[in-house]
Amino acid sequence: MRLLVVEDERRMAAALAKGFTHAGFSVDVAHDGGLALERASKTSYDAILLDLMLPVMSGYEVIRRLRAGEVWTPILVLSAKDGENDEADGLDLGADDYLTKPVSFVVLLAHLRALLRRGATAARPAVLAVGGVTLDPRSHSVTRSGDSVELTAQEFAMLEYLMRRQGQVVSKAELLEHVWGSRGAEANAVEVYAGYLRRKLGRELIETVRGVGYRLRLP
Amino acid sequence: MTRRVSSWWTTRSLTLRLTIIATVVLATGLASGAAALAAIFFHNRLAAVDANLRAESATLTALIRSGQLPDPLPVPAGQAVLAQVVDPEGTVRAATPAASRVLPILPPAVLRSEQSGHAFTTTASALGSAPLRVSVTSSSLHGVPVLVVTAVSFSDVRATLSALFRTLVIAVPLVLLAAGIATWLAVSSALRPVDQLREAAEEVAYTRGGTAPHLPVPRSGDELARLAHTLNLMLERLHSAMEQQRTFVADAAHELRSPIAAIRTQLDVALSTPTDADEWATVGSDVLEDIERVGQLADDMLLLARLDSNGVGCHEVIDISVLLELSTGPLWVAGDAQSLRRAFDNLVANARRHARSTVAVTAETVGSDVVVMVDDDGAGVPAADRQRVFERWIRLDSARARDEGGAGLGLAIARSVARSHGGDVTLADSPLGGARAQLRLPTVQP
Repeated sequence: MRLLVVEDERRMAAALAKGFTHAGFSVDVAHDGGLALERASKTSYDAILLDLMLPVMSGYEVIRRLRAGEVWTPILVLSAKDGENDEADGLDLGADDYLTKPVSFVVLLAHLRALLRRGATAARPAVLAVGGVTLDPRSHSVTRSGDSVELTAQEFAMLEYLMRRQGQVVSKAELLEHVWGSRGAEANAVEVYAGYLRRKLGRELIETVRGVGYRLRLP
Repeated sequence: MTRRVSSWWTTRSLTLRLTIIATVVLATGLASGAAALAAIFFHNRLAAVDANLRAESATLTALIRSGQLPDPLPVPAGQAVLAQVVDPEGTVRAATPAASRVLPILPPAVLRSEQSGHAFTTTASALGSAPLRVSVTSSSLHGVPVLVVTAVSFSDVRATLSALFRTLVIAVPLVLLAAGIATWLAVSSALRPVDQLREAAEEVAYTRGGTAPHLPVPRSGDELARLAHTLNLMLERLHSAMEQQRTFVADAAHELRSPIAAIRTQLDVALSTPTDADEWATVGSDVLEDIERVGQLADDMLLLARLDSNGVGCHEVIDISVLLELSTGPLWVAGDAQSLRRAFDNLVANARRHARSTVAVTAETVGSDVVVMVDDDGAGVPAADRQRVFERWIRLDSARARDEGGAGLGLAIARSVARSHGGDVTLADSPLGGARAQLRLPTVQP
């Protein structure tokens, strides 16, 4: 397993590298954000351990640029910033885990292993996008060809579910279960909301697969 | 008892107290006014009545003395004066048209005792129990002693007085009630902004953090509006001071956490991986460096806190040229040598960090100030950042790692020290091409 450790304090970085190497990782170290971005974009790492307060480029910016460049390497943020907003921002920008310094090395290793178990090299964008329509779960906003679109909470939930299954057929029963959940709804609610979404986002976006369900049409 | 009354009084609302005070003052004023009115009215009427009696007596006495006794006795037109001329025995000799010609106005006993000619009030008259103002003057007609009795009914004065009294008894409470209500309304409307201020202040007291608290300023331009304005200024100052404090503490926690995390990780890793003696020695010296960083940070924060709260302690006269080992000749300032040395050290350390090869320290007297200049030949500081670099925890050189760059308190401390000595630190361009830090201190006579 190949690991990139991004940490500007050299003694801390060296200790981390030594510990991870001993745990069986192949470790690269970057001491600033610019170098981290460059290495992470070029090399296929299995995980990145990232500090936030970095010279040249902040850790937040590194996360944002990696995800924008469709690099989906799992990122574990290790920062001395302990504010709830710091943590939420890191995760919402596309980090996968967040630990506050100081942390026990044993716990850090366990978090890293858990992150690798989830093993994700598939696209896990923080902002979903399908054929000109984008959906940002963080700001709860939807755009179509760059223009903002107002959706109700229910419409938003249904669109998000379909976007996360883009290209796959999703049955009405599955939509009812995942979008309406235990609240339940009339059986035709799915059809009604599919109609609303088509009206707001274009007829061609949601395709009906007769007898099975719905599918988001890929561009 | 007095205490209970006073505690009752002080716990009442201001509106109630002002209303009570105003009403009591008004009631006292009205009552004494009414009493004075009645007294003046009574005395004027009495004086007028007595003057009439005296005039009539004088007229009749003059007639009798000249030997005449007309019957009926003359009376000035329009005056309700009764007069009789009687024997000492009480027989009526002559009377005014309205007076009895048979029955003397006063009983013989009174006639005998009251012959002074002075007016007096009696109810023991032949005219019934109505009060009467009378005077009796003795005279003689053809050598026979007679008495001139003049009288004016006093009951109309009494009636007027009691009518006045009845009117006042009804009117004064009504006026007081109206005045009380008016006072209550006026005071409570004048104090309404106070209540609004209180409510807003209560809200401020129970809300935490967020934006700067603000009290509504009454639209009037009166004392209350000015008070609200001043309170708002105070709240803003407090809020920004608190905000500054909070940021400082959060930054301090963050800055302390970094070296502590490094120490912990280094020890954690060394303990959980095979580490030989040489490696342990390296870990030991690395950890020591981080511990020194923590210690330095703690010292810096303590110094800043001390400078913030009460400035520098002792003020001795110091020769800056000796402190800086310069050959300029003596440059005297008053202050604390230790904290001044700290300020200079910080400026020099900062210049060293940014210099390519040269750092120069010079000092001279400019006007009434001693100016110490620390020059470097580094990249300099852009004009836009020359104030910002003095803020706490500021690091302009984002390309530098934290463990090399210092925590960003050095210049803040230098400025705090200079300001607590009545001077300041500023940044300018250096003739060497980099930045020039100027520390200015007021000079003193040794």
